[in-house]
This record gives sequence, C-alpha cells and structure tokens, in this order.
Amino acid sequence: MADEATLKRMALEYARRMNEGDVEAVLELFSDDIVFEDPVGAPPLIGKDALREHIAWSIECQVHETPGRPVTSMDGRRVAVPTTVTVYAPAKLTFSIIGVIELGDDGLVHHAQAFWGITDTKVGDGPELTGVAHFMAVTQNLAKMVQAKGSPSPM
Amino acid sequence: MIDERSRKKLILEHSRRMNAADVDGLLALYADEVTFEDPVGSGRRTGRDALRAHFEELAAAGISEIPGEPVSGQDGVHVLVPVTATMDYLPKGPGFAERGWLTAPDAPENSRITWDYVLMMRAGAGGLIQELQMFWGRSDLGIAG
Repeated sequence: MADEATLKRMALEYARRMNEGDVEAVLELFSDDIVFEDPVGAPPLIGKDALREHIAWSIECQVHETPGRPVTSMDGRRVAVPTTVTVYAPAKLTFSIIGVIELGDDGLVHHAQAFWGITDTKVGDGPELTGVAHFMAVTQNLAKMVQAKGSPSPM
Repeated sequence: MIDERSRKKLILEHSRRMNAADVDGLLALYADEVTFEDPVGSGRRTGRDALRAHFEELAAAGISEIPGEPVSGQDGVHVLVPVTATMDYLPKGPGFAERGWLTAPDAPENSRITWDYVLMMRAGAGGLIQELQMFWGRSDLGIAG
C-alpha cells in the first residue's frame, strides 16, 4: 500500500516519462501482468510486451501529456487524474481523458484505464466540429493513427 | 449502451441536483440495484436507502460542487468528471476526523470542508446509474479559511 503522495507522484511520473519519449522508462512503472485499457471499451492490452508496442506507438505519434490535479482513494492503491493528451503525428488530435491507475504492493501499476470518448477528442486547431462531421473527422484521424502504427514516422 | 453526450448530461445533471439539495431528484437518476463507494477504498454499499441517507447528509452540509469537463468511456456505460466541492464541516466532518481523514477545525460550526474528487458513474438500462464511485483521499480534503 502506497501513501497518497507516492500514488499521485506515480500518475505525474507516467506523464513525465511519456513526454520524454523513453519507452523503457515508461515500462518500468508497470508490472509484468499489467492490464492496460486505452480507451476503456477497447480490448485491454495484457502484459508488458503488448504495452511496449502501445507506448512505442504513442511516442511515434509524438504524444504529449498534460496532467491536471490527481486525486486518490482510501485504499492506498488507486489514483485518478484528468489529463489532456495531444498527439502531433500523423495529425494533431487532442484527447481529454481521465486516467485511473491501480498500484500493487510492489509499487508498480497493475491496472490502468484511460477513459475518453469520441466526444472527448478534438481534431487539429481549426474550428470545433459538431455532430456527424466531428464524429467522422475523429474516426478518420484515429484510423490514420492506426495505419501509421509500425511504419516510420512521417514527421 | 447510452451515447456519450447523454452520459455527460447525466453526470452534470447529477451535480446540478446535488447543488440544489434535491435528494429525490438525485435518487430518480439511479437504478434500483445501485451500488456506491464514497470514497473508493472505504467499502462498497448497496441499495437506494443507503444512498438516500448518504445524499441527505451531503445536502444537510450544503454541498456545492463545481464540475469540470466530463469524459466518457467507449464501453457505452461509463462517465467521469473531476469535481471541486465545498461543504459545511457539520454534520459529516467529525466522522472524517474520527477516521483520521481530517484534522478537526477550532470552530466546527463556522468551517467548510474543501474537497477534490473524481466522480465515476456506470449507467445501464433506461439511462439510470447503477454504480457510483468517488475517488478521493486524505490529501484531497482540506478546511477552508
């Protein structure tokens, strides 16, 4: 069981390491049996190898995370943090997410959930789209991100 | 499955009714088989009677919630929102202090608790809330003034 300051630091440290773009440093925060749901609703990634691929892909997409104020729980295990996540490649997308992580007795993250929906995603810097136009723009750009997976960064 | 915008409306409406101390209105947003945990880690409770008693205490304390931007899961059921809240130290504060969650203020009757939490809801059939979880710890509580 971790103290609250440690739990909160963990959430902020994850964002810091993602922003530094160091895949192995990010992975050090997670247990070997990590269950990683990003977004919640998609099939979870299980284990560090699956997570490595996901983190490497996010970093290839030039991810930048800006965490807000983390809050914790009374069991010394969980922390929730609203975060703005931006990817810049292959196109700029901004996600408004709430992350929930759960630490084990080893102080490592065993379960991570990123809650974000299509309506929490903004495309580019242009005027805010609404309705079907917004839905189409987001899903097309997410598809581009998936297609870019594993191929060299276009930037 | 409830679409994202409807779930976001639901969680903001929950805050609105909380701020209006509308306990019946809050209960109307919930399914019969409700479970809730406030705060997460303190034990799960079940049933509308327990939830009513819980909301009545918050209403008696004059809770005031300022919700941030809600986000939704892509699972068709979850919605979350960060909240900054205040409420009178009485009646709930002494219970918090007894558990070591808070240091009792010198003037309990004139003090307010400041509070940061993340609300997480799972909604089901008919758009009713089946589960409520509030994430906060000792370090998310304070005494104003």
